[in-house]
Amino acid sequence: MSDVKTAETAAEAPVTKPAKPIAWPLGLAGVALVIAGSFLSWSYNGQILNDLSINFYPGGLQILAIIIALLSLVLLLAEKGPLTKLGSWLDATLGLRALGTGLALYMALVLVAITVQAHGLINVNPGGYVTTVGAVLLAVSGWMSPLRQLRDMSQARLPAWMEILTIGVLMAALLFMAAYALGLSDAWSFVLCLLFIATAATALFRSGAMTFVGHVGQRHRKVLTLGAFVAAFLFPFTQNGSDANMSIAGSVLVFSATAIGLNIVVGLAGLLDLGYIAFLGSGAYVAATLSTSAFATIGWKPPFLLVVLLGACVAAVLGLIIGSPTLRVSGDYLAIVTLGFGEIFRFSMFNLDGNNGPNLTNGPNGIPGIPDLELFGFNFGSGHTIAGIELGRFSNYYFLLLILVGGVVLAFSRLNDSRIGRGWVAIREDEKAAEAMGVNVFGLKLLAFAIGAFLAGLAGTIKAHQDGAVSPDQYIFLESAFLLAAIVLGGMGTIAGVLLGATILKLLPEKLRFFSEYRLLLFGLLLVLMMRFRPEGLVASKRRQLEFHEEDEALAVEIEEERLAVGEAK
Amino acid sequence: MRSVAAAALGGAVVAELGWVIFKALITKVEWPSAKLRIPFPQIDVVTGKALQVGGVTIQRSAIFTVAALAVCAVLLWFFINRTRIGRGMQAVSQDPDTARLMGINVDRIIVVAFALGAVLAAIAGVSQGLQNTNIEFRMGFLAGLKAFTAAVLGGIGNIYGAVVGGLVLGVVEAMATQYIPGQFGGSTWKDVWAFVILILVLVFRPQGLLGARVVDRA
Repeated sequence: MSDVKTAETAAEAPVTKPAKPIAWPLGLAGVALVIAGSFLSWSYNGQILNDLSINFYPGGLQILAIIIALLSLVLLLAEKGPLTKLGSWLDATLGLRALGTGLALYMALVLVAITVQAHGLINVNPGGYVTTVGAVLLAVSGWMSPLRQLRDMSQARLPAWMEILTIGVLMAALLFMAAYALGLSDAWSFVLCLLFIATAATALFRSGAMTFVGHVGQRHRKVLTLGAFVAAFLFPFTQNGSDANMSIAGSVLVFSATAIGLNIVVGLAGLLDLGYIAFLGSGAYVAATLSTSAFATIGWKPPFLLVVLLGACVAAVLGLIIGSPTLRVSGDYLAIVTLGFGEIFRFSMFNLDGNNGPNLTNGPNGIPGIPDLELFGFNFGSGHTIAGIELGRFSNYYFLLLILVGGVVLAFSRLNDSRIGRGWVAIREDEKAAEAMGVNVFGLKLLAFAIGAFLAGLAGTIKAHQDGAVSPDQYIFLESAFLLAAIVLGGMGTIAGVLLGATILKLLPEKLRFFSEYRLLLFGLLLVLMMRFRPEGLVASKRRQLEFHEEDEALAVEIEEERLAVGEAK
Repeated sequence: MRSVAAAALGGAVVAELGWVIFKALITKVEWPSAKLRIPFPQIDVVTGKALQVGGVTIQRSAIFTVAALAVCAVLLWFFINRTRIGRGMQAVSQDPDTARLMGINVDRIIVVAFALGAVLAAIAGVSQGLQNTNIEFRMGFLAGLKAFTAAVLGGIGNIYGAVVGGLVLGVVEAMATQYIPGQFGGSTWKDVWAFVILILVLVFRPQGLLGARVVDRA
């Protein structure tokens, strides 16, 4: 009880540390310098970073700097100035710190990029320096400003139409940013754009704007879900249907669907599975051997809808088989069993080539030449034009995969909210206690494996047709490790987190060619750092966050209140 | 203020010069490809001509491997059972919290355990290199998996178990290649059989062949 009381008194007392009077004008000066500098030329050489060498005509990266400056201006004015009314809701100082620090980092990277590409700091024009100084001023001003007590964001309400508009604007911004980032072919520009996105996102979260969006999202849950899907469906239209980017997006979606399937096993049921890619592989191999490819080894050619079901069911049966030892083993031992299973799958696919076993998979050559899907008379291989935009083959598969991911997300969220899902979480938290409470531990574990494998098998059947070929070396241990890394990175047991993690892990190596040589090194480093500083993942479910921060009383109280509020709402 | 400006200017010039020199140097180096197989150094004593003992040919590297195994096992047994750190390691493996209460530096023990494991793995790597004459950076993955299989097979936390498990695993792999009939017996399937054994052992005898102590399986 005493903890709660101290928290209340702390809430009443104003924060004592006074503002340095210089902080606010310093911030304004920083904003002015950043904007002024962004209108000047940054580099002498026009070949670098999509041409930043023209005065009074800001290039893409300069516009990003201006956007950050404008956001900072809003926060500054919320602190003192015409927008003070916002100030009691938004945590302007924390947001300003994030923006200032991020922008300073951004400018430092810009300078490094110019230096590295043009061989010398001499190629940086005055505009670059002016903006850098402005960014540093912004950061300094942010760190000098005082922290303040805020009002509870859950009480912030706007008219319903404005809240829905907020969601719409956010989705549009997301869509625009995704399209812009994917459109960048230059690796340095892409990295800088990512840094911009990270800075803006951090600032939005820190300043509490995202908390507001979260509350709005809870009030208009359906609008939010619908908005997200509409944005995802509109995505191919932003690229002019570019096949290169859409094939990347398609592989990201396959990866996401598989990762969500794995999230059932790992995130909900708490069973570590290191051989999960085998389920994706089995789905893909079923689809390949039953396809009309000239290299398919089975004479039977059923329609695709049947193949999808068959592939998913084969994967689910394999899931049941690999799930059955879970009665006896758990923890590290289970991880090794599943790892061994993944290797068995790979070796089997490798060896079933007619020499070392019956010819089922053509061994290391795999099954190439899988034809495009044809569903209800619609051929997925042919392009078509909608609203003047040419959509190619990969856009078609993108739409199909989007529907698949939607289904997988739906299955995951419904399961998560159901009796079964609560049983899984109970097993994850304490298996013995769950068993004592009458939870059917073994049955639920098997079910987790079967459902997860089923979803992965579904994704696999589509992946086989999208790639046009299957071969054993697509389904190596490393892929399982990446799936797991996506879940851990994004946040176990959450949907948004896994989608984010899958996107990051799949998109970066595709987009950054220079990066792909070092990707294992960098991902390893990233994971180690994540485990050290944010073990709960990028998007953490609150309850799980508490497991890693047991002494955080405020968080515990917050979770308890949230639980009560949900209980009341029901 | 002037001194600061001078320092900044000096710093910029030095950075610029450093960059130019760095570029000049880095382009001169010929980087080897990590993906190639690299020949392992051959030492005459351990890789020389094979020995003939009563009609049986024995490779010198095999003798080295067996000798290394014996020496390592004895040393490890001595270390675990007779030294302070080794006994601390046993205590930590049984109950870290109580071990800490008894004044054992648990973190240090764990660090030592990792280092010791790495040393043993490195010795195994050397004998692997002597036998295969070529090494490659990816060769450790499957070996590590097999190592875990062997340890589980013998019983985790049991040195004799690890040795016995490794021997059993190797013999079973060789026998599977030889005696399993039909197309599934070839040498390409031996890794599959190793993992099948792993799974079967974990399911039916999780404590391993020699594991008397009931391991609390996390």
